[in-house]
Amino acid sequence: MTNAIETIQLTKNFNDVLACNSIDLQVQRGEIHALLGENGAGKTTLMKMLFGEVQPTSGSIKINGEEIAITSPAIALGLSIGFIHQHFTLVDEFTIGQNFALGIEPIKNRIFTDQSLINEKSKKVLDQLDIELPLDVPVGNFSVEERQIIEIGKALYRGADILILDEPTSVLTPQKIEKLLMILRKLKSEGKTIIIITHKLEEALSVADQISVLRKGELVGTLSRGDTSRDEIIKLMVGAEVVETTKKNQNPVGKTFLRLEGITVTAEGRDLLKNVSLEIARGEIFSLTGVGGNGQAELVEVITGLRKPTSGEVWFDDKNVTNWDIRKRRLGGIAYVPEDRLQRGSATTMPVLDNIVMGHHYRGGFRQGAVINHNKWDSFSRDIISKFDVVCSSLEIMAGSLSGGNLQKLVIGRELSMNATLLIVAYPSQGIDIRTTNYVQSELIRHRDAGCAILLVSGDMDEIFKLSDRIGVMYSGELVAICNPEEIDRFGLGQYMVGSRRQEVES
Amino acid sequence: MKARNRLSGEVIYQIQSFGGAILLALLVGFFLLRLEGFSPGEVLTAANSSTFATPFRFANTISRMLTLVLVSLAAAIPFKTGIWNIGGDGQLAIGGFFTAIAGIYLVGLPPVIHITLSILAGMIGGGLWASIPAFLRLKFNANEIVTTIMMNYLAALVTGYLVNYPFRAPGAANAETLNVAGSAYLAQLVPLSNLSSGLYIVIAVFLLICFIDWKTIWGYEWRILGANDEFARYGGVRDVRMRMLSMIIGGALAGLAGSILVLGSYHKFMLNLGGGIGFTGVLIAIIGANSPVLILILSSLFAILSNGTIGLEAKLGVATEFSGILQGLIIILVITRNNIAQGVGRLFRKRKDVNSG
Repeated sequence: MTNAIETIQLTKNFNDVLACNSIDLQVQRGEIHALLGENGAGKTTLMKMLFGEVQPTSGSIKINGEEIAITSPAIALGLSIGFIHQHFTLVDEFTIGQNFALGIEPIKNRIFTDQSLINEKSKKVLDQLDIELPLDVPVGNFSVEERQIIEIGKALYRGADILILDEPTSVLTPQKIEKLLMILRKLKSEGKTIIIITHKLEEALSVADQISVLRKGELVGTLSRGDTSRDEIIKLMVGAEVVETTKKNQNPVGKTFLRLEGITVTAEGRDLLKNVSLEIARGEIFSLTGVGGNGQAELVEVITGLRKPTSGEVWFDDKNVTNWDIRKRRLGGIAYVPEDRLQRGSATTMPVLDNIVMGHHYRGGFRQGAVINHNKWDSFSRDIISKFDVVCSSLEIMAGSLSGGNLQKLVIGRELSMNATLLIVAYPSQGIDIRTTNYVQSELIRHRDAGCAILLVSGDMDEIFKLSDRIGVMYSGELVAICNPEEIDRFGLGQYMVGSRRQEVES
Repeated sequence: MKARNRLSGEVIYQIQSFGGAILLALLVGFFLLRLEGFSPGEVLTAANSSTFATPFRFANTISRMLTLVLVSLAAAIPFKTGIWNIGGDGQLAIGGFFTAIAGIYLVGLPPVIHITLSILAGMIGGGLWASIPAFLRLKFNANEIVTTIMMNYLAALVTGYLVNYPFRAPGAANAETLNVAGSAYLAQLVPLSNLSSGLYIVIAVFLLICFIDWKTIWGYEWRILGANDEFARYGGVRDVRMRMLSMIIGGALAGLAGSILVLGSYHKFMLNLGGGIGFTGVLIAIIGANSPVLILILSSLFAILSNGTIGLEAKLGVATEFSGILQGLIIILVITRNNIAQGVGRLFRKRKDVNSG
């Protein structure tokens, strides 16, 4: 039996970062194949190469046994590959049929769009998906899960035989997820090949025939659902290298700085955070881990003030800061390295200087009243650039012209220089080289020893075990465990991360 | 030191590319008039007669430029933060009306105080008028392009009612108020012209805006907000407050334009005070990329163009709409100048390739 998809030594570099390393993936025709892995493991990059959105650095791809260079999505579509993106690509104002046929409208009498043919074909696709939806309503009026299914329908309408779904369940509630998985099973029974990217083990186990696990850009194993166990997959996901742990803080942990009480965030009917309570003290590194999308991002937003909790309170020292805005919280002693350094962490169309002073610019010394202290801005920026080894020809060039790694260093340098009492660092080693990673890690330790409270959000087991004094695990919006790194191993942590175990948190 | 370097580099680049685009537009204009049978010499003489030839003409050109600078800045400052202020006309009308009321009814004050109060009234009026669409946008996410345009109609209709009925000067043939009290007159710099000592006010305000833009953290926060508002918020910029502030300052500047027209040029409020100049201000702000220096240059140019065509009509019989054609050419060429440069560059490269291959 031929493989629907086969990749041979497929590799992709982004500048100095290896996103996918020599991947040999085989997907059989007519199966559901799940791709599991942490954020940044390379799942999406791999699939984008299959769809022609990203060009491989080296290696090749075979579709139905034939080696083909997929240089654009148009070629992928011609090969009957359909990609359902994580973010919807529907035109909200158009009806289902208009979305399905967009760009490939059948013509009648040489001028007119053949609306009845579109509707007829659309109806068939919807029947195939076991869903009944009105054809004359703009898709913007449908619910999230309905739109998700319409996305799949769009690929089917265009004749897709191989469907790639990028985290299709991340926006759905549990009941709706079950419905979607049923649709996938039905499509499989009709002979479609389906690849589903996910980081939820449960889904993979419930729907997939084969499960491939990616870690740090490498395919670490492909397992058949029949002859594998949950534990085996967890072991693959977390890896097994032994890492030297750094010297823990010898000073006793200081006074509690951050206190969260019963934080709940509800959006669009889903609980993004459920009753999370947490304390972080001066002089400790608290790692928050979990599979991406389980509430870590929202929790950080609640602490920094970017998001208002639906209920619950945030305390700094003995001050209730729940209603403080971001500037007040920053002045109150927090700094924050965001995961998304491009969108949230910088303004790429602005000069390097403007990017470095952000968040410092309203502090004393950087201004007299509202007037900028240009000398201070200048010397401070030069200082950060040399300390964090940011390669840039001048402070006036646009931040967007820096290489990815240099921009990362700029953002990390800016936040580490805040003299913060609470330092929130999300995925610090993502996208930077080893040397800088080591420097950043030693800086985190130095800050901890100097009495700074550190919240490290990471999915990288090596990093977590190396740096943490305590580890918290998030699953499905809840803080399911708080562990001492000396009393737990990777496997145990992995069990919490995929939701197969939880601590009865004593509080 | 650093900021000065940035400035001079930017200004040099802008002057080169802008100069080229504007020169090209004027050449096309001359060419069109040539087709009509007018020689460049004739055209220049005629245009000069209504712009620079006499002190009176020159003063009117300057006066128009001042109004353009103010309404352009009124659009540019909110633009910087990512908010569209198309409402300059309405803010100018409300500002002019507030000033006229203060000028007419606050009598018995020394001139300095009377003028100051009247101008403040105009700026407050314009600022308040602008704060309404800003509030609707920031609180309810109502599209400010639509609401500011609607507020223009609202301002025209409200002031239209007020000068037609309650505040109409008795016996006046047109819809206009009484003259403001003599103590509120801005001194005329050239007899009978529109140019008043409002000139000094505009210079002071322009320098103040430059200072805010380049030297204060307000200007910095406005720029960052416009470039990436998520980054600005993350960094602690109070986005709602800064955007509201930028809109109120914009409205106050448009209101000031109305005040100076009332106190310096006409000495009363009348219907259609600004004559739709707010939209020209929006155009200037866009093609001037919100830079105060470019706005100053472009405002001078547009003032010369629109006043110059008065002479073309009087001397040569060219319709005044010709100034619209020239403005349109300038806008198209300035906006596409980078693409044109690239296209020309490609053309040359291709030729080279052909030659070498």
